[in-house]
Amino acid sequence: MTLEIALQSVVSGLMFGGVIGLVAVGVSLIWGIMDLINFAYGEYLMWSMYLTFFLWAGLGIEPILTVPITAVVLFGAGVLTYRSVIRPVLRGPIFAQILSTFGLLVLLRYTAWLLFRPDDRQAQSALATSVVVLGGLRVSGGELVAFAGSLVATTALFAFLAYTKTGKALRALAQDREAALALGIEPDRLYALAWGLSTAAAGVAGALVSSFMYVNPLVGDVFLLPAFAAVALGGFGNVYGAVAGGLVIGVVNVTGGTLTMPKVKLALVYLVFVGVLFMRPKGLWGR
Amino acid sequence: MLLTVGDVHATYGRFDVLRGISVGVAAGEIVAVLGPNGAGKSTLLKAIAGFLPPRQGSIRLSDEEIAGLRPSALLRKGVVYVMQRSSVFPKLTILENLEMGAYIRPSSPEVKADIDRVLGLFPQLAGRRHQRAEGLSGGERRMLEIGRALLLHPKVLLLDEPTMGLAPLVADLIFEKILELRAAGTTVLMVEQNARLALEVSDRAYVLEQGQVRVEGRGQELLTSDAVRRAYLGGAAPR
Amino acid sequence: MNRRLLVALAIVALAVISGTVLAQPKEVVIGVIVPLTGPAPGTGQDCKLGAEFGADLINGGVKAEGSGLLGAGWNGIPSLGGAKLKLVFADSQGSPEVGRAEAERLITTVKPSGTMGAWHSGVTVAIAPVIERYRIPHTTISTATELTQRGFQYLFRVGVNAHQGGEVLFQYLDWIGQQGKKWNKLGQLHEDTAAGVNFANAVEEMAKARGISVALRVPYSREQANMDSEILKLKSAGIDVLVQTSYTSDGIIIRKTMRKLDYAPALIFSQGGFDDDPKFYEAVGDDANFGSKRQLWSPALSSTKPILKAVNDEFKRRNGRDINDNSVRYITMIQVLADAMNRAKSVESQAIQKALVATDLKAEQVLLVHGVKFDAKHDNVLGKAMVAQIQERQPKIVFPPEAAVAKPVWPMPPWSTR
Repeated sequence: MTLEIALQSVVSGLMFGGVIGLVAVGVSLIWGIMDLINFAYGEYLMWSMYLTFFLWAGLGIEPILTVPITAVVLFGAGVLTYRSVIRPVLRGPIFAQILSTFGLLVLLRYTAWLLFRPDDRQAQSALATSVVVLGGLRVSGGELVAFAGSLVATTALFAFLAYTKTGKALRALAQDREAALALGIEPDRLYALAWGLSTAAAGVAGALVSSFMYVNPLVGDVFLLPAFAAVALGGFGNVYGAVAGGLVIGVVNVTGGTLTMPKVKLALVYLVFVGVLFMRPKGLWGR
Repeated sequence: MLLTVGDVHATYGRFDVLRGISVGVAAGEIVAVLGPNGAGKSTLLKAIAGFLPPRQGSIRLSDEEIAGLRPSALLRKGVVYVMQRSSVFPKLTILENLEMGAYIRPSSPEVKADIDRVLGLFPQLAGRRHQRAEGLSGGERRMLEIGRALLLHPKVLLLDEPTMGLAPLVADLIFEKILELRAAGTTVLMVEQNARLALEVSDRAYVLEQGQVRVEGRGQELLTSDAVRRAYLGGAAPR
Repeated sequence: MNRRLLVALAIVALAVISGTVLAQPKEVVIGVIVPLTGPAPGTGQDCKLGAEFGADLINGGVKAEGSGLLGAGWNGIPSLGGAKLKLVFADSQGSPEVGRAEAERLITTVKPSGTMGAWHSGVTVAIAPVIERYRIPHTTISTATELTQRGFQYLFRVGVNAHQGGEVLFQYLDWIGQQGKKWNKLGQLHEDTAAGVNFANAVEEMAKARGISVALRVPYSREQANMDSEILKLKSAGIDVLVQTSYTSDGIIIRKTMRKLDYAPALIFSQGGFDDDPKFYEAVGDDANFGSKRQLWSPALSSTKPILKAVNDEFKRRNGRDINDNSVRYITMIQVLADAMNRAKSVESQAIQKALVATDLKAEQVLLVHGVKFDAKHDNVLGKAMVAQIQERQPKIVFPPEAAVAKPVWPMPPWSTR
């Protein structure tokens, strides 16, 4: 194992982690604001990937350029989901909430299965096959753009949460729903917005990964399971921590796999996950 | 009367908490609501503030029926509520907490000016405006909550036990601020468990028991009333 | 005995009785279980085209008289009064669970006289016990060693097994050595289901027997978005002869990652799979070039045997593509089943099974190069492979020399020059 290989694995890990981070942010946002785990989150990502694929296959749009389209469509899907599925169970028992997002998972996954069959499909992107070499370290154009896109998307979300009145109201709502209500901050509209933003993040991530990853009805799990680990690592509901968690997970995955055996890389991810939860139940950057 | 509560009944689950309660607050008054635990004091404020719509009865602001309106609608009419427990947003800065106080107002230079004015009112907060609210003491949190409420220029300010859990000196300070507010034209309806102190600052007071008004009168009168002293002030020597 | 099994047995019994009563059926149903959807739909499509072409050959739709091919000049199965083959397809989706359920459904509903499939070794391993239970004569090309180790009476492997497929690698390496070309370390990269594990085990055994050590073995699970650690591991270990078993999607990610991380071993050798699938070529373009694979058929080879060229031309006219390793094996499997039924003069399963055991098809009779003859375990003793290297996006036979149509490019050129 040379230093060059080790460094390369860290760079590869960061590239991969950037995307995991964006997915984790989407999960963490809903968790933080509504205390709700969206088990169906990976399915939104999968649908975004199908949208990207068909935009490429039908209209010849380069996958990366579909980002605005998938973001808007998935935003709408999130708002719709909130209004039709989530709102009715929000005041119900936690079990009903878990079941409802799990039901969504089944619905979204098997609708895709029926419509698209379990075939792997992949958009061909010139960008994805290009290779960028910097100081002996190598990344593909597709990964680099996905990494940069993830950082831009998460930064935009952070800026929104930190500096806009609506963003502050979302944070206020997350911290104390009743107090927010007493100040006229109506949860319903903001919850819908949070769902829209969360699924829009899945929309962006879906378009970003499509240049280098195939899509099939089960592909959501490939990203969601590491993202859950990133969320836990970053502190449940801590959107900022989720990004950092994603980067750590990416490096653990690739560098860990390279240093030991690639077959165990997912196991390493969960080992770190369980270890952190054991020592710091609130997550590495939990509050 | 600015605020009139007439024969209000309200239910928590299967429990009747308010059982035909009637209360009135005139413009510019400070009115205190006293009574033992479980008498329905907090529930009364929640009913007025839109958190617990009454089962029957009326709540009127001037001549307008406001029973059953949502909190956000009531805020726009000038009914502002500060709840009993601490309700600052701990992870937001003091300034952001105040901005949330003005949430229903469109952003404007006037809002900024109002925030500066509130910070002027509470110098302890002004110097730490960019710190998170979680670092504040109990009294400072109360001040922030009251300051937040002021940004909506309330016609009626509903305060639920504003001095609960505060050291006596701090409690005095809070009451001082409440008097200042009244002097500036705000009407206050407050629930207090520190009856002696409440009666000292209030114009009038209602004593509740089991969801109904038991005694009503001017603050100073009730303070000296034997019945009230026995029942609610514990008959102990004045502090 | 549970109800389902009873019902199933009753159905089988009925099928057997009706089969013997109608001694001269108008048509013979063959069930074909292939991955028509799922991770390898392009592959399943090739298998389907092959089976259909094979059935048409038997049914008299493909003109190949005088070619010596089994089925040429037939008009249905002669000894069954010209009964036509009718194919019924079932989609395994590449999943053992789905494959098993589909096999069961196929057998109980359409009552096939024979079945074939399921391409994926893992799926074939799952359906073999079902086939055996219903006593349906079954042919397969799956390579997993274990398939013929379990004493199944009704399962016959027409293609090569893992050892036969791996054998050619070592012959090729010896030959390459004699040409004065050098290599250092043998390593393996394989997906972790039956096909990958069995082939890797076989290669490891054969390497050991030759005193070659496998320097590194990297198994991986297919469903993942990032394969950098796999490639970095191989690169840092200095593996320059890489044995790879992958299906299509993972094969694409791996090839792209190799280019990205500048890993170009002298030889990439696969047992087919990703590099038989047109989708792989679509996705990686010229990066598919210079990989090598064990090959059972080559369109280029057909130019040296005129009759095969004519058959390939007809196939291409119909389907717009050359016969490849997948279609050729499904054509051959149809020939093998039809031959057995013809000799059995019956569609009764035990009779077909007996006839299959006695199968002896010469190289000239089938499209597969070396003929079909089963040993006691039902492996094809004539199963042999060649080595093809992908050149200009086509598999070109480079070994053995007597069949070669191109010279191997050794080592695979570095990515920086491509």
